[in-house]
Amino acid sequence: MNPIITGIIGIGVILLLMACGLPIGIAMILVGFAGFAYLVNVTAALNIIGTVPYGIISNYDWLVLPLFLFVASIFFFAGLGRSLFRLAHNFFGRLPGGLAMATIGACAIFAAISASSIATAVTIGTIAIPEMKRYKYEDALATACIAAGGTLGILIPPSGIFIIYGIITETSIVKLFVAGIIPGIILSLMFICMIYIRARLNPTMAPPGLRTSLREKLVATGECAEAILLIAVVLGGLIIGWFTPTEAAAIGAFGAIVTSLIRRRLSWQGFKDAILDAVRNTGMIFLCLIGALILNGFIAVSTIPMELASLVTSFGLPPPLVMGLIVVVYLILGCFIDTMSMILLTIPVFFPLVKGLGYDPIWFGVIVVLVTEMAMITPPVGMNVWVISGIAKNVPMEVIFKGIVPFVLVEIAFVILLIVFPRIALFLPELLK
Amino acid sequence: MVFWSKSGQLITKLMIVVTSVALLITMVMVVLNVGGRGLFGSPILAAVEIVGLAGVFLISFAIGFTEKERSHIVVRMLLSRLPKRIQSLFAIFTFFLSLCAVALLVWGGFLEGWELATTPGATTYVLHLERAPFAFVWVAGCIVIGGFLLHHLLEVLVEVRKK
Repeated sequence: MNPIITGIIGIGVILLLMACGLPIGIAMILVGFAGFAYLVNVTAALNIIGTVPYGIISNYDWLVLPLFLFVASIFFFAGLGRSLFRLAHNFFGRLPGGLAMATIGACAIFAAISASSIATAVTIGTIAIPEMKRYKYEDALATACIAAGGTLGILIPPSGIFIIYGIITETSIVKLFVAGIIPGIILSLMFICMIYIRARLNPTMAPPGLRTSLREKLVATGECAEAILLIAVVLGGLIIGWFTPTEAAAIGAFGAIVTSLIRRRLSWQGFKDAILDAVRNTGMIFLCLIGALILNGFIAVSTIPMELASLVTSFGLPPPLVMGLIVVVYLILGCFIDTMSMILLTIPVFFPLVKGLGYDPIWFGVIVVLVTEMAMITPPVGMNVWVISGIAKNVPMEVIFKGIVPFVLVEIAFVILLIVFPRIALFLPELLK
Repeated sequence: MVFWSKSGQLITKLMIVVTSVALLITMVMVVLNVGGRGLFGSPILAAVEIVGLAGVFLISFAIGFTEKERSHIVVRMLLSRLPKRIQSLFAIFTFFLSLCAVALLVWGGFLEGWELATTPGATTYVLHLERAPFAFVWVAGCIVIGGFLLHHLLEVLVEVRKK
């Protein structure tokens, strides 16, 4: 059989197995192995299935992922979310829609120490939702702003998706992290502006809260001082070149433990739970990564990426249109499969094509993260929405999805902005060169 | 049955200890290395190697722990709409396929370990530690994953039989 047909059938089989409830990592391992054995031979496939996993698990650089997951877990169990929310609340609270804006602000700060979108949504959501209910915010806005704010967790560094993208495409993780900073800040501000405008137009949707004194603002800032300092050290060290990503993650984790213990925020039980949480997420992500890299071998020998690139070139489509089509494919896929599966399945196919069109891999990484963000809040799979519906149990799912629409529109506008002005993402990484 | 249950609990405890210690060693070694390099101009000898090897323990058993907790990424959108009985049949099918995948990983890992064990000079660069035992740690991790999968498969089978 033609390698391309074999490759297409392979991808179809993965989707089918996923629909049957097979873990995505296992589906990729099975299809990757079978496809490679069919197109090359069984001995070579067995060689891949032996060398790839050991190569991944013994690689120092890949330990960045468990360590950043550990940072987020420590701060989650230390209850940092409450202090961050109070800080943002004291600054934004008195404005119309202030609590929702504070939620976005708190999510953005927590995102700077967390590599996960779900961790961000849960940490801030458990505190912000009851507060917004107390101030009689509309359920749709209260829940949607957390689901959308949580997605900042994978755009603002450190980001799990950037790490995975960097590993799969062999792109500098430091540059990807740095590239996420400005888009993360701009997107947060766009969310905040949108909430402010809507709250001004419809004051009953999000009434203003109480004014706080300067002293209260300073006290709230002091409560989060260690987290802000840690963000500065970790990101600053990465940008200046003091640390590699793995070192930054380890220092972040160590700093998080020490500061949480000094503040007496972290109990022994909380510490144990944080470790187990990090271990659980590590296992989940690494099974997918092992599967993705085994599958990569099969995708490469199927020649799909090369054929797709030459097909697109033969059509003579302008590169921005091709990018637009790729974004549309991601948006559609994001409605049906979860983000990790989407990234791991599509990057090996799209990355060579995008690179062939002359786009910067760092910029494409930011675009991928942005469309992944959207996938996390669009129905029916939107993981963040499921998580938030678990916290706000009396809010129906359709209400949350209704509230999500303006946030998705803002994200789409931002993706278009980034396609038109790639330097938004590339400005800072270029300074590193 | 009690024996298997107790064995499962013991393996879980052992797995938690191994992964937790490996994660903490990873963190502390990297911090000490950065501190040594930055403050005293002398990084710890073979820190990168030690951390990489700790990673073998961490990840090998973390995947098993995630399986024990049934936390691997699964798309349930379609399945959750089906009747319970059909869901159980799909569960049997997927656990069986997962066992096949793990069997492949065990076999591939064993071949890799065997090759490292029989190849002269297959050691780490700085400490000159044999790499083969670490490859077999991965195999052990895969066997643990297989054990939990088998346990889950049996649970579903018993449930189906009861119905």
